[in-house]
Amino acid sequence: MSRFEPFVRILFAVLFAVPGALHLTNLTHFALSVHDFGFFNASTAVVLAVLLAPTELAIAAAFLSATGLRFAYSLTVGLLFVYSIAIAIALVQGTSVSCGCLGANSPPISWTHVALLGSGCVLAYLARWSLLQRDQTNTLEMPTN
Amino acid sequence: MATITPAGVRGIGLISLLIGCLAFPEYSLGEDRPAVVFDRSSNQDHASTTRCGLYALKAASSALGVDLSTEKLFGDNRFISTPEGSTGGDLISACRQFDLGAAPVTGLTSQDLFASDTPLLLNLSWRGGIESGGHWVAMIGTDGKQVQLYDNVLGRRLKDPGELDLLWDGSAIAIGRGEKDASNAAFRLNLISMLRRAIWLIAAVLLMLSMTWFLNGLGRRLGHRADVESTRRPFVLALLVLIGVAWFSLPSYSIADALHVRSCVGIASVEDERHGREDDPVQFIRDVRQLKNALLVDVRLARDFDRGSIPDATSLPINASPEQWLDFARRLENAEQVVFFCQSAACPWAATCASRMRCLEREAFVYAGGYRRYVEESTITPIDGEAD
Repeated sequence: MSRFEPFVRILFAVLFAVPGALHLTNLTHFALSVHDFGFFNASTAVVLAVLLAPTELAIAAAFLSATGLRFAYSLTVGLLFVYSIAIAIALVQGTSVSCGCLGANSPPISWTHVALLGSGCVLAYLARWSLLQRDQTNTLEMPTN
Repeated sequence: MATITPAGVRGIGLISLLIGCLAFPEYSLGEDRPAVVFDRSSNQDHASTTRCGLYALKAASSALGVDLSTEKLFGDNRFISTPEGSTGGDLISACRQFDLGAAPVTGLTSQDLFASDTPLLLNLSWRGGIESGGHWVAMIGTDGKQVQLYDNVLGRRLKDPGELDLLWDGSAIAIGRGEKDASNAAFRLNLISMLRRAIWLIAAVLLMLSMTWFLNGLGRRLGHRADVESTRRPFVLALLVLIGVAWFSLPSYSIADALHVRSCVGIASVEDERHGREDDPVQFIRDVRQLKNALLVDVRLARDFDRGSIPDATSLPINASPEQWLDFARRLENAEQVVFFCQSAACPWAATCASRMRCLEREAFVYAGGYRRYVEESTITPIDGEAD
């Protein structure tokens, strides 16, 4: 897994960079997308939009700059898990909303989104586990005075 | 004497670049264009909502100095293919018919409009809210930090760009004197839009690196070894800065209020269809003068409002465009009660509007006598007494 870690990192960087930048340049629309899911009132939707858009961009930046990788992977697992659950609940409830993943012209939510986000969640968890294993190995091999 | 280390130089460079990147999104690449001389009175048509696209096109061509023949444009409704009005395809066909260029653009935000050097046609809607179709407006220029819009309902006005994002899905039609002009304008807009997003990403990466450099430097001074890959501190600091920037870049108006009105109106419409008149909750008639912080809402058509209304009343016509609903949402912020009135007791629109507003978490009343009663008595009195 560690051999593929850089590729996984770039994949997640792109995965978060595109929506993160789209959401941050149009916070109003992102708040609208969050609100459309029907889980939160308007004020909470705005606060969530202001918190989530920078988080997505920060995760992308962390993967690109190799900074705080373990934390970035943990956040990735958390975000993708929450997103997939939210979409699944909305689909079960029969809510027809745009996924909001690609800005204003995003396609409507579907089970494909749930499958993709779920797979991403598992991949991010494996990458984080791999990183932890590597760090533990490095610590053991480090000479002591 | 203090010396500047290579790491210090790199850090200063990174921070300078970061400041430059963060400042870029506010930079307008488009020149402020003067207001277009446009004869509003001859193109004002409050009643026609199906012709909004053609009126917007006429305004856009006027901004380019091309005067389209009204008779040919509106003549046999050939550029209006749906009951709601013209589609984007209709308007592009109309442009080609009159030797104008038209190119569709998608994925824009309101800030990108400042980079446009040509008029644009924008389709505004609540996106799933009260209106199924959209309303066409022309973006005919910019003035400082505002964009100039024109439509046949409200005429020409300046609009805060952030407000547009709630109503506009980012698609537009660039209008030019020829196909090449329009295509170039569309390409330029797409490029600027992508660049603005890329700049945000670069800024975030630089911010992350700057924080790492700063914390590493601090760690060395304090005698600690910082593990860049595993520590979460640079990440958290960079994230806090980004959240701060995002918070301050929010539009000045209350998005929450606008969202609330949007969902409220949408939900009420569905319930109205289900329950009909039986579910009409508006039974309140009260002396308006006794209400403090009340917002008086005139629901008559805009042309009637222009002829005269109760002092301090706000216009929210029954056929209000998404923009007018948004204006209304902003005015609601300081209101504790909302009083709707129409022309007379025979007019049901005030009650309809009030019933749509039932989830506003504000007291809603109907002044049943309407404007006619106000004019007759020059005062507002309860009609049928007060109800809770």
